[in-house]
Amino acid sequence: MTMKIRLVNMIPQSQSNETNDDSEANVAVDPANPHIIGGTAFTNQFPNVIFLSNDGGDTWAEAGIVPAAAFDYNAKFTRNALYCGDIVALVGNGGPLAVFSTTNPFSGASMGQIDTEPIIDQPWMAVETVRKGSDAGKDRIYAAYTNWNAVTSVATIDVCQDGTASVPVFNSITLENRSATRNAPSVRPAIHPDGIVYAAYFDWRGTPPPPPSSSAIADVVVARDDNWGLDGFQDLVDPNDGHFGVRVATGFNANANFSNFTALGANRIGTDLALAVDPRRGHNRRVWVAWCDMQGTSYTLHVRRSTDHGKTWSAELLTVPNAMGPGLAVNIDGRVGVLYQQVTGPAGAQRWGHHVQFTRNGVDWDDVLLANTAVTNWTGDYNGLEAHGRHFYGTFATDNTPDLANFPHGVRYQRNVNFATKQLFDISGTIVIPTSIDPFFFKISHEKEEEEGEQEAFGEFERLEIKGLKYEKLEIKELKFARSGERGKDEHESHGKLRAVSRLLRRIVAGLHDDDDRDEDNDRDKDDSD
Amino acid sequence: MATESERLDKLVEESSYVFKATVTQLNASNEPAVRPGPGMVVAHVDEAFRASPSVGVGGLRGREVTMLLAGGAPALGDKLLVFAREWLYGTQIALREIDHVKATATAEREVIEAVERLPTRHLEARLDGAVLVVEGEVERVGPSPVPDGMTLRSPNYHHAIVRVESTLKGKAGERVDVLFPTNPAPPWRTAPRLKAHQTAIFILRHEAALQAPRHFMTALDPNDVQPRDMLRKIKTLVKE
Repeated sequence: MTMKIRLVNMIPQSQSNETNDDSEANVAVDPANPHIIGGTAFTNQFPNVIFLSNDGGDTWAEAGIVPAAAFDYNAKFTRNALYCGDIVALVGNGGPLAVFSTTNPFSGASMGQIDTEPIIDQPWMAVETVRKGSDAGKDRIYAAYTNWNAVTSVATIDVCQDGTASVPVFNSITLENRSATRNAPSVRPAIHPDGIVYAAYFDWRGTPPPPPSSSAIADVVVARDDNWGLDGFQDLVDPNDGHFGVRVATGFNANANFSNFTALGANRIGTDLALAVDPRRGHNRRVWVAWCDMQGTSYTLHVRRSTDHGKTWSAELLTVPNAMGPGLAVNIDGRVGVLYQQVTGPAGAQRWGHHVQFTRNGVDWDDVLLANTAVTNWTGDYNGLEAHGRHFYGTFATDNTPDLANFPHGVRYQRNVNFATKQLFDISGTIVIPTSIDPFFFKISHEKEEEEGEQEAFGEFERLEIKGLKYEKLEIKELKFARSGERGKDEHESHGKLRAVSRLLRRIVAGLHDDDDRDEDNDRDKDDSD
Repeated sequence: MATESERLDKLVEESSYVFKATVTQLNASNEPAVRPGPGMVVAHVDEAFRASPSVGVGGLRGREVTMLLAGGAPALGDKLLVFAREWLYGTQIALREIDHVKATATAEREVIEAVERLPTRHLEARLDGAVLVVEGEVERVGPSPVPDGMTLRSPNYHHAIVRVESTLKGKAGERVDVLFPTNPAPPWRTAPRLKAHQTAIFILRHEAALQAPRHFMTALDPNDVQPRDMLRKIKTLVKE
């Protein structure tokens, strides 16, 4: 597998003085222009900042456009706007949520507020611009959180069907419908462009004593809504208990003791959850979930997959001990990326390994180690990962010591550093300043050469060969390609053409699968109505 | 009606950046991420009086900065006293102006005085809102007896017992129970972390986040724990 890997420390040059722990990084890529990328991290700035890049992540700025404090926030782009969910104040054990938006984060104007909720924990945004139908162009917004306002504090999503309306309307949907009195703060929606929206959350069991605690017993639940959230996330029913949302894993120890900042490295644990749906047309049935729980004495990352809209789930496809902060994303090739951080080494000399693992089949995994840094201070409760086209974009926060040995695939710093002496320098470039936690951005691109080669050969074969095929007469059960045997100076060209044909045929087969999916959708509708 | 001095104090307090600058470009930006346009100028910072800690006065002085003007239309070469907040940090610094005035010797002196008053005004405000101000020593630190840790936003308090040597405001016994946060996440990350045998002046309020019993106090602002050599000054600022 050919990959291009780029890693950038996101702190701008003009912030070289800062020694704050900029923890809990997340990423937002503009789907209309992937050169525009946003990010969030706790910077202690006010007004609160969105990290911005307009060159695909090579350089970053911090823009103070969130008009409130940031006690917990993240942002996501649609084709129309940037949306940010933020806890803007502290009230008791939580704080009020505000959802802000802007159509141009570079303009200098503050984001405008479009939604509010009284007391919540850990807002998490998922957004999508509708591509087809009468609502084409409208922004769907899913602001997920745990609602700490009620006696029973539960997983909730504020759903908006038109984010760019003059007055966007939000509808709060409670996901929890079992007997759990509390859900973990992490609630993760995942949107397929077809309008199917999944949501994962932790069901905490057991009262008394009420979780969170280091012995909290939990289930992972995945709910589904087949109509952009208009059906109340009631389209997936657990066959065992008849409640909405299928329990993917049950009865594990979530170890949700939020006061323990040495639970794993210098981090607390117990809220680690990620969800992604295959974005390809006709693949909305393929859903991936990742979570962490205690396996003996090891806090362990698990990855599972459903290929039937969340009705049933695979066995473990990936397990990683001593890991947390999962991010999940699926690219247009169906390749899945799993981002996480793993502790290694003995107490007192622990290190964070920041990894992304990739698979196309759930069996064969390619592991990319992006950074291997000293465990120092808290890096946050989550990391961020998105896929656009064939590219994976992500963020994580970690110790910022400028030691090239810590970054196996290289790294770029904007702030003043000396890699030879492994030191950070202030804005003048003369005074050594202490290390701290910084956000890092990465972009991993797959098979770039193939993509370019294919474009060259695509037109030729489309004209000469592929258009001649009758779609309805194709009977393709399995695709297997071998080298044609050509050698010599034409080898490269022929190999490129072979790959191009392979890709075209796969697209045709994918189209056939689309039809299968429509049949499955019809079957599913029947099942649900029964 | 606010006096000119009060107006200036308020302006300085709202501004994370206060400096004297010379306008060098009109309708311009020197920061690549900021597209130049009307209402924007580039200015050379001749003198800096206040700056965000992540830049510092030394890091601001002598720089060219981009400013999004709040109003007015300065000309090239105009010397201004600028009150501004952060907008964008990139390779350069772009600021949102709150206000500016023409730089004169008198105005500059008044601005410097207002900036110098700021720490004292902030300390005074903390003292005014305090229930108890004591000079003392942290005897010991341990787990908090108050239920905590329910959410990611919880303070994760630890408990310090402070032996009181003198009381500057309010009524204290021989010892005071002080809860201090250990959660490194916002908003708790900047609150003082108390240590055993630490001697200081403690500016205390009733605990509010968890609604703990009334005798549990907190010191959450970085200025709420002052070194003992501030004793004389604090005595002059305390109003019973």
